[in-house]
Amino acid sequence: MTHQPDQRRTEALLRFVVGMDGSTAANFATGNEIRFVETVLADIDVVVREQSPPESVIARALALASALPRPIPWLDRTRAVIASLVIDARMPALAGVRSGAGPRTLTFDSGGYKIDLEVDDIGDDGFEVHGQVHADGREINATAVALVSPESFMPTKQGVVDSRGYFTLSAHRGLYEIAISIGGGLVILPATQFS
Amino acid sequence: MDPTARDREILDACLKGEAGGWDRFVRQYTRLVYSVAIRYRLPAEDADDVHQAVFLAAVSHLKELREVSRVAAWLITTTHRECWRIGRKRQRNLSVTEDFADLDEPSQSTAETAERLQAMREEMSFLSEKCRELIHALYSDGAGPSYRNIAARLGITVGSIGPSRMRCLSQLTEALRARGFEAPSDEKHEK
Repeated sequence: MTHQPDQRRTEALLRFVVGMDGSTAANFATGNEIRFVETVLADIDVVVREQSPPESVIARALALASALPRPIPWLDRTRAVIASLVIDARMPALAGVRSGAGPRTLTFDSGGYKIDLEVDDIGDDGFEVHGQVHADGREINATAVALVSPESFMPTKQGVVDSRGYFTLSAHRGLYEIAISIGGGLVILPATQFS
Repeated sequence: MDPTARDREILDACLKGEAGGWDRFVRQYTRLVYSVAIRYRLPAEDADDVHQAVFLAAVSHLKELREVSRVAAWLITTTHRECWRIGRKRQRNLSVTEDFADLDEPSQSTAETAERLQAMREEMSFLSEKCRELIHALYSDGAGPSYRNIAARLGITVGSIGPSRMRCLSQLTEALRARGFEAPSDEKHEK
């Protein structure tokens, strides 16, 4: 077989650059293999010489680690009781209030506890939820509460429950679960659209 | 490890709030994002802001990012959009050229080239340190490598450079082939 100059060049490329033996190089001196190897070499050239971002730019991006979700030790979903929604109502607006509707009230029942929520729009697409845990005369022993994204299961906001079972949380409108640490267990109010 | 599986491992660490995971993610993709902004000829200060905006978008959409099949493609598209947004905001002379024929998606050639170069960066990072040093030494000198200088710098013999180059390039080529690396679809090589 008479080798054309291009094929000889290609065989040399494949043999001496990427280490193919002579017969393999001859067999693989096809259009596709030529382009593949030449692309590899061209891309090495680009990557080795390319401009890296300044270290200060990389540092700014690394600092976004502060925005990573932070798990909460007490939010262990494996031991959670999911409450049921019992009431979802909109209270009438107070006289003199310009907005068309009053606060929204929701009641959840987890079997052992009842949780009442009052949700107010606070402007700028935000909402505030005032909650109370009821325990039918038993000691409440609820300690902490969190607004949780149902997609990532990560907390958006955290708060405390006082000795009477009251808590308040506020956030940007959206779909949230509310997780409440009660009596060593965990009650989760199912995902609800707030505002 | 398969690139998609590796990305998921990194993103799982990020979703658990592990700063080490985020560190790996940024360092793996910083040059991809920056190179797309530079390709669009944005000035350095705009490229810097695009870089930050893209990684802010990534940290804000970690769960979504974990579900995509190609993180690099998501980052390339997000960078494309941020380049347009920041360029317009800064009133740069960004005409709707081939680069921005579609404001939402980069051109096929831009996306293919960027993904291909990212594959090269990743596979080069998995080579041994000696192979990486040798390849950098052979290719970073625009005037052509001096084997004597390279040998002196790397502490190797001149005679070992050729065989080492073959071995390292062969490893790199096979790794790229295994992950489906392909030459560009047209006859020209994009740079």
